[in-house]
Amino acid sequence: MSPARLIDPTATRHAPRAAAPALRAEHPRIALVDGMLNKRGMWGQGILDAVEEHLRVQLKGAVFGRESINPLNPEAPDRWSAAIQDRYDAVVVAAGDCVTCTTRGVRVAIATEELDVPAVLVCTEAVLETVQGAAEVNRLPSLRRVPVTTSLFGRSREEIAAVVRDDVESVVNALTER
Amino acid sequence: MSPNEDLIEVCFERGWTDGLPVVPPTPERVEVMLGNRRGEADAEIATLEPSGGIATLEQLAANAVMAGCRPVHLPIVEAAVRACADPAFNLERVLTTASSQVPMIMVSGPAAAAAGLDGGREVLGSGARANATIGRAVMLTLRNVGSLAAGGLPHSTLGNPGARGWCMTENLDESAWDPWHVEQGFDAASTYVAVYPGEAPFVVTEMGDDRAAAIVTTLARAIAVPGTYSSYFREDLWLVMSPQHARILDDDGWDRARLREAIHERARIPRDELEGRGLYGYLDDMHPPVWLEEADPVPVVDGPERIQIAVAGGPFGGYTAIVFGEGNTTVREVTP
Repeated sequence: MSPARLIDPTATRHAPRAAAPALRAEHPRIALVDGMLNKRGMWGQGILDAVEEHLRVQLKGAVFGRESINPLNPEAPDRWSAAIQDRYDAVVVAAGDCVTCTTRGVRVAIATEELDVPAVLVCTEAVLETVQGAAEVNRLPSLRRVPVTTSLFGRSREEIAAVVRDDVESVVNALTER
Repeated sequence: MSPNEDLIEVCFERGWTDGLPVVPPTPERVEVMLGNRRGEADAEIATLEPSGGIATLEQLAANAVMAGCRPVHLPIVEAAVRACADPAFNLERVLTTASSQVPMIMVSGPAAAAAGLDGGREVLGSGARANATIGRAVMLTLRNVGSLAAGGLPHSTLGNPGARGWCMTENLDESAWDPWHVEQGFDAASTYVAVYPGEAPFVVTEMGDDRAAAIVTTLARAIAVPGTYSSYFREDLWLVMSPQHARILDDDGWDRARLREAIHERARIPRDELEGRGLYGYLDDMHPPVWLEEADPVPVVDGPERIQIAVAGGPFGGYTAIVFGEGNTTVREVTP
């Protein structure tokens, strides 16, 4: 009896995406992107404050720009990433405690990587599983990510920056190693 | 694969299921499901977020087999998947939210009964094979082609009892009103699938006062609740009205249009009960609530046409289910 066969009910797998090379630029221009759905809580800014503090020490001469994405905006991540491609050498996206903003942040980071601009997603531990899932479905399972251990609700910008300070030390490694 | 392998377990191991056993999609079963369309197996039906995977007719058929569908169900599954893929439905947002929306499928037209869909008792449950398997086939397709199940997706905080599939139709035998698709202006002789990002139904009871005005008042009060996604996004809202409620309204001269106007007028929330509560204050920067300046109290929907009403359920019982949600109803015709 010949072995049974099953029709694959899943989508044809596309080729995986290629990750961007590691950050090598001297005096790199780094986009710090607030990908949070809740802007008023300044959670994203708190995480990015800690990231910037570290990167200023670890990447001498780096310059920084604050950017923002609206996870509810249907504008394609590709267009957003293409718009910033020539202005930055690396992108750090802050997302967390929200599935909508996390998946959008993953797509933005991956779209940026496709333009050979290294991107790292800084996310809360609570959404790490979502990040992995979204990275897989968007065909870059190796997407750079740095988890922070805190939850965000109820914390001020300053509190978040203080609590995640140790967690984000590895952002520079994520950008400069591949 | 070894001939002695348990194919049901193989499907589990490959991550193809929704947690329940599926009917293994063997080539023979898929061919039967495709019927006289087997020559179109590679036809591309829809691009499904969040993965952007392209669903072919063969994959739809495979997922329909797994769900337990009969071949007569496949055109309805196809129409529902196409409706989910409509950009206006915003499938990615529906499936990647921490909230509890899932696609609610409502089939309206002659093919519903021909397919065995049941709009009577347990309509919001899963009793009839067609109701259960069509809904399940759609969700399996979203899972397997849209890669919904990859890794940590979905990630709804509380989930939804309809997450394995939610498909319903109307109880035309007990309804004095036109079928939904006719009232919407579609061809009466055709069948349509409407898909809506719905949360779990919130069932409202009004039997203590069986006058039409009382039913409308109770419904409006129940809809005007702060803290729902509907109260913030103010997009479509569905009512699944029992035949008993619909009959009382019809006897008193109400039709759907009048009911929509009344709900839009009366289901309103005072502005000070909204500001800084529910999603207000959380999403304001991303989705500015400009409507708070337009009216006080604030209507839950931004226009009466947003309210969709289906008459379904058992012949007695004064219940109407409110299906809150976030987003738009999209519609596709069923092509046999």
